[in-house]
Amino acid sequence: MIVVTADVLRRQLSSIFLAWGMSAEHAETAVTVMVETDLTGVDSHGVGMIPTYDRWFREGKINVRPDIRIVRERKSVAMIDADRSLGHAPSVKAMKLAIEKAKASGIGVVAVAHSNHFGAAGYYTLMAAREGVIGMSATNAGPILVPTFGREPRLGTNPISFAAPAKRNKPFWLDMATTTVAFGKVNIARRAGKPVPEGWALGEDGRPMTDSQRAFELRRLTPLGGTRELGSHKGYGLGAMVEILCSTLTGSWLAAVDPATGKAGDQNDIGHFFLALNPDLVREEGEFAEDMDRLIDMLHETPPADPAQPVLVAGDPEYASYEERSKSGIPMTDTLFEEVRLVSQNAGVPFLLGN
Amino acid sequence: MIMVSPATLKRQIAEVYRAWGMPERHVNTTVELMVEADLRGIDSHGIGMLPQYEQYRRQGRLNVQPDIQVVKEGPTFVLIDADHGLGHPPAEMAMRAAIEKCEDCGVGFAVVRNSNHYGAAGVYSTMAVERGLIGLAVTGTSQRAVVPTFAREPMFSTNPIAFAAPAGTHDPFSLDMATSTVAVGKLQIARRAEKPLPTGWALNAAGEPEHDAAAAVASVPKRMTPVGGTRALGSHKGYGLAMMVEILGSVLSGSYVGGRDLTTLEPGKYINVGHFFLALDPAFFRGEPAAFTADMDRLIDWLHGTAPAEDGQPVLVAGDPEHASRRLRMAEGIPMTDTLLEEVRQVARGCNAPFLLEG
Repeated sequence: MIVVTADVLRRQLSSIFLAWGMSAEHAETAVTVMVETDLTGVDSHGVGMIPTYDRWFREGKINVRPDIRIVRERKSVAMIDADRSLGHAPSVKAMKLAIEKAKASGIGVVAVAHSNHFGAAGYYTLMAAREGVIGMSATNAGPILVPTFGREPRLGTNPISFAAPAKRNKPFWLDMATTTVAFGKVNIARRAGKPVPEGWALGEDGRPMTDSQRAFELRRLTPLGGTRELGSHKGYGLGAMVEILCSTLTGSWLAAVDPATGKAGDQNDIGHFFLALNPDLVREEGEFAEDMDRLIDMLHETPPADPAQPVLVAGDPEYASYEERSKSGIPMTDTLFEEVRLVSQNAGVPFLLGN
Repeated sequence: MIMVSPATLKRQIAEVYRAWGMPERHVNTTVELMVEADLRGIDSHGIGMLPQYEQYRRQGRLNVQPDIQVVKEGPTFVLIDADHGLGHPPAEMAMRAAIEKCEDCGVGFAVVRNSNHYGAAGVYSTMAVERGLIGLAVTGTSQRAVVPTFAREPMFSTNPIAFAAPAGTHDPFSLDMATSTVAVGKLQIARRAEKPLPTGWALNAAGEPEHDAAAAVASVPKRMTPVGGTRALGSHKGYGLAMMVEILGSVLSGSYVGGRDLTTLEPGKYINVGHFFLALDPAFFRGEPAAFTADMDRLIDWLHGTAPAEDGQPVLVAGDPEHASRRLRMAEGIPMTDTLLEEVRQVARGCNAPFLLEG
């Protein structure tokens, strides 16, 4: 395990994106989103994605000089074409626009078409909450979720994020895949040589299986709920809701499957959905944030089952990680460290993390 | 078990509400939305709620002649005060307002405060679909019955989410789900069948899984789990979704959370539930209406086309069971258990309304 500072990580990622030919502005945006994500402890969606981005870049699947444009706009809604850009720049643009619209009119909804992986959905909703408005974001992704009663994947992990500002407390900040677990958790179990709990992954026959090595190879995750008995049809329904808001609403590829080749897995024409809502236009100014404090305090004060494990509110683990990693740095596994070295070599830029 | 036609059921419920003194326009709206829930097979949220509503009325927790008012309005939204009436009329008015705002602006939302139980969330989200729009409806609820992850006491309730989107040749996509793992009704079914509860449905007073169905049903308060059921299977996600619903439905409107005032954490005279509705115009985003509905058909075909784990149980899409139930019950009527029939007889007798469901 190697620990790097956020600053060195920023410079490393920036040098790679600039070497690819990305504009300084787009590089800066992508780097900010990725490193903030690593600081919050969502390791799967920050620098951990750079080897995948590198592969897509070399395969010509990312447009590094995109013309990201607003194709239609009204007072409270807008449609953005990402022109096959990496997802961060169009997504920051979309959420900024949604926030402006919410402040002016009460609500803003901005959808993004023809985009790529955008990192962590939560980055964008926190942008909204920090501006005093409610934020929602979602994205579709390549197939990995097996619908209830099925035995093959048809939808992505299709995450949804929701944030709401408080006054004294940090914002309520939910960022969740609509699968039971992220694929990264299966990988962690595999590396540790441990079985996965029943309800995380399915075999080729559509039945639950606990062999983490096989689960890693098969890539068949359950929807939130895990089994029909525990409500997997609800997770499946939420995953489909995200698919509708991201691919159907924007005209991006259904389940990130290339309609020309039928090939699934890469995320090179996906859609995102962003919503911002201004609570101060609905309630008297400030009342919403004060009631959010009351709600958050009430939840924190719920009697715990185990006195050593207090009841948390969405965002608590991420804020704690942010504080810790801002001081002590971002841990990277040796494997990822070596992968970033390779990406740097591919881009022809110095490897800065070893210094 | 008897079968009742939708028309007869509507007349019966209407007679009760008239006997209560509810204004005729509210009677019609409420009756239509309740029977729609029954037609869709959502038995827990239609006529099955009438005994509970009667109890609220007798307790003075329901205003049968509310003055429902728009208290705030912007270009894209309205805030409605339901004046403690039954939730259906203000909710219907709110979703209609969200739809009108959406037709003007591409998106519209409505927030309702000082409301009450409004039946099934899904009957509001599909109102948007009838106009070619995407609809979202969520609501807070009045009883503490769901326990946050890592906790041992319930703090909120089943906080449902309903989302619907229009298709082309297919029936609309229509998701209507509690954010708890199961509804109370499922605990009752297990109790009657004397079956143990699966781990993840309910908790005991120590916050550990409760497997005894009778104990789970008898528990005061109820201690159910957020969807996910256990921490290992993601109950923190269900808990997070339930709070999203609470924030949009209750906090945004200034209503109670789990039947409690957020300042005092005590219940009040009224139930003070809040609702949230949103309508979104897919034609704006796609540039024309047909592109979205054609792609919805493709999505629905894609999901229905999933290879099933078991022959004989095809993969479904949200709304399939409700659409099938609606077709069946329109033709054959709505089944009512003897117990429910007897309860409705008591309600009618109690308010001097005629009882019309005699076999």
